[in-house]
Amino acid sequence: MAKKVKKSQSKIKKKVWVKLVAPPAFGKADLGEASVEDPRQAIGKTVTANLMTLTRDPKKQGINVRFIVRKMHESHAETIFNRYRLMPASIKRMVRRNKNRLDHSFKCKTSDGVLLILKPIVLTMNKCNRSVIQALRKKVVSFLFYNVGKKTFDQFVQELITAKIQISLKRSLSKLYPVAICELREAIVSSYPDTMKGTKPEGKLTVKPAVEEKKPAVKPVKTEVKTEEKPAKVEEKPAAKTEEKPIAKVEEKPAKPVKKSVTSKKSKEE
Amino acid sequence: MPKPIIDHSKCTGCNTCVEICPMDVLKKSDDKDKKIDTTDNECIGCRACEVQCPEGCIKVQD
Repeated sequence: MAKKVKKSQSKIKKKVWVKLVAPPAFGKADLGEASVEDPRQAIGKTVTANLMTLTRDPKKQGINVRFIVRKMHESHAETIFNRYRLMPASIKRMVRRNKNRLDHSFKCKTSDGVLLILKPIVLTMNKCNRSVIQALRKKVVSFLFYNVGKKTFDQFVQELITAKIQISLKRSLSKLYPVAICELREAIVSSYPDTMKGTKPEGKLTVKPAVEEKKPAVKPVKTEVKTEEKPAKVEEKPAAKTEEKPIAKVEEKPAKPVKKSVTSKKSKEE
Repeated sequence: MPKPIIDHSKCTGCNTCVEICPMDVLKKSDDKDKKIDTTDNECIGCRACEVQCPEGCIKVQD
């Protein structure tokens, strides 16, 4: 019997909640929490968030952004931008008949050495010749290669979110042919340089005890507050009732009987 | 037609321009004097090679 009891015992590790924080280009916004047995397991996890919630701009509700956990700190996990994506529902609304849709996909590098896959989408005002589309496609490639190559990864992300790249691309394309919509449908990070890659911390981590300490610290505070407030309310209520009620009653009561007495006199007289 | 012009005295043969070129205009050559050579492919003048070259030895002429 004793042996059976030993077999049924299983080692279950307690999971820890790790707070995920967006990169500084997104204002270090809260992305959520991940439950992990060991905080080191959080590295490499992906989180997707809507750009509207991060920037508080309702115009950007059709864009999703993905982040990857890169580093662990004492209180939170640091993330890095991984993907920018226009949702298919918003693209579907853009495309109309009697207009040309131009798609492209290519790889280009930033000055930091981050390899990106860019997928631009261009919609012309009217139906146009194939030669025009070809020229537009060349212009898109040359513009993005030149402008992305000059900038660092952080600068690129900043301009992507604020739509500066899209606006300047539209301006340059409209010299060739009037363009209705010019967007980056997708921007995916294909590979990071070694300096940007996430590193797993060595030795003991301080995240685990820090999170465990917080939970018991919160509960006693709540109980203390309740115990302090309740007696205070009990003491106040009777005091307020005793002070207010008699004054109100004294003022109202004499007013009512006067009216009644008048009506009663009139009725008697009649 | 735009065309990349390479300063072979500065070029170290790091191949960044070959990797980055969207039209495959540049290629690695076996010559000792020329580490990188141009092909017959049409250059679109994106200047990615000019921007990305760590030595600054490529210039695109329109």
